[in-house]
Amino acid sequence: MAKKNPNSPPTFEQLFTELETTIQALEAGNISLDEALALYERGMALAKECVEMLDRAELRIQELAPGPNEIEADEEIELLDEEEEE
Amino acid sequence: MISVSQLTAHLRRVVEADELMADVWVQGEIANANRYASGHFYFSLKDANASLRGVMWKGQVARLPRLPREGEAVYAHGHVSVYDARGEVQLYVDTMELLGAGALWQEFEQLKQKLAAEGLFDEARKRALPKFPQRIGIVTSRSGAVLQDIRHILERRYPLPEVFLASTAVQGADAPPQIVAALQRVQQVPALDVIILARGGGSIEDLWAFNDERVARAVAAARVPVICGVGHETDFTIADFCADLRAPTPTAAAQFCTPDQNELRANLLLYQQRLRRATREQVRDARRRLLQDLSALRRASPRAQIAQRRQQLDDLTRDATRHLKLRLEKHRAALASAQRHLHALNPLATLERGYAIVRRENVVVTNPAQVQFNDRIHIRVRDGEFDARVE
Repeated sequence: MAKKNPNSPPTFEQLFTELETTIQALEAGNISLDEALALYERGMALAKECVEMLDRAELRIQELAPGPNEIEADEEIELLDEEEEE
Repeated sequence: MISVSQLTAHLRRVVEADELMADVWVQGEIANANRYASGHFYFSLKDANASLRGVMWKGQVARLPRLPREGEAVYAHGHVSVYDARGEVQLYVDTMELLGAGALWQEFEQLKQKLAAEGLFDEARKRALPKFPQRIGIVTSRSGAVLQDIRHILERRYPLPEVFLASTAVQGADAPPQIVAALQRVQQVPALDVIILARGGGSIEDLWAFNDERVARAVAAARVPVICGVGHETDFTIADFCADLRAPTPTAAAQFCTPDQNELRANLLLYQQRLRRATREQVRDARRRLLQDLSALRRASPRAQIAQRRQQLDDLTRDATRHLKLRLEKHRAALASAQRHLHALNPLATLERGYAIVRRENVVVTNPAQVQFNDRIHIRVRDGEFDARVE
């Protein structure tokens, strides 16, 4: 998997993984109360963001145009783009 | 002039009258195999140049060790007759010897062995699929149900990724080079996580493009993991073996490369519960530690010692004071007694009682002979002194 630009918003995977490590750190204990509360806040924010990402998501499909020397045989026109305009 | 029925009936009588037609062994390859719900098995028996319709009834099919495969070479025994409804000459097979791989299967097996020997199917080559793909490439036909099926699965399970379609023909002579080109095209997408190579069910000939060496090698050479979902559960293609994961169907392929958002949401709820519980426990632990520290602190506090010492000090002070007082009293008593004694001895004390001391030239007069007439004497009484003359 390609590394993402650090400036781009975090991916679902990054948030989800951070959430899991946050929970582990909190459950492992051996931390101060301040740290525990900070982990709790962080974890809850991460969980919320994950749910919101799922809520917001809308599948995007784009068709890659074939090169000039690739000719579609027996072209059955039922273009995806039409459906995406719904 | 005769009717169609009369003609086909005649045809049947002619065919059935032939001795060879009544009892014949035929060698050929099975094609267009189709087993209906009735249990009867319909197929074509063919060789390089010719093809003949065949049918085998349910009861006889049941006696075969297994159903013959597409392209499989068989010796079929039966009789030839005419199916009036279609005017078709058919071979009615009562038994069949399965010879195993037919020409297509031989081709398939040879390629499979060759690529296996090259290590293209090695488990070590198989890459793990991403758990949370962000960019999914799909190589399939742009028309037909497969693309829509995959799309619906993705929408339902995990609508987060961007999906890139590289459409291609998936059957026919053009299909292999097109599939190869589509695989290359989709790999142009930067940061692509996974490729789904898919085709719906069909006959073995329909799926044959996925047994093409060019396709197999393109799948094996892909820079990102490929999941192959071609045909149905029972269809295995060379492309399946080269892929990082074989899915039994196109929809299964879409399922295998995405997490299910229902599970994710359930997990997220669970994670929130775990966060709350772990935090409560941390707070409880912290409180317990604090209480323990407090009682330990109390036990170790100098305040108790100070109180003790203070009491000791009080006791000592009291003792010392009492002791001092006693001594003082004693001294005072001794002093008073000494004073009294001294007082008694003091000559001046007699003056108190009204006596007087008489001196002549600083000598105390205790005998009248010590003085003569007109001597000047000095008299001291209690409250003072004065001079006098002797008469």
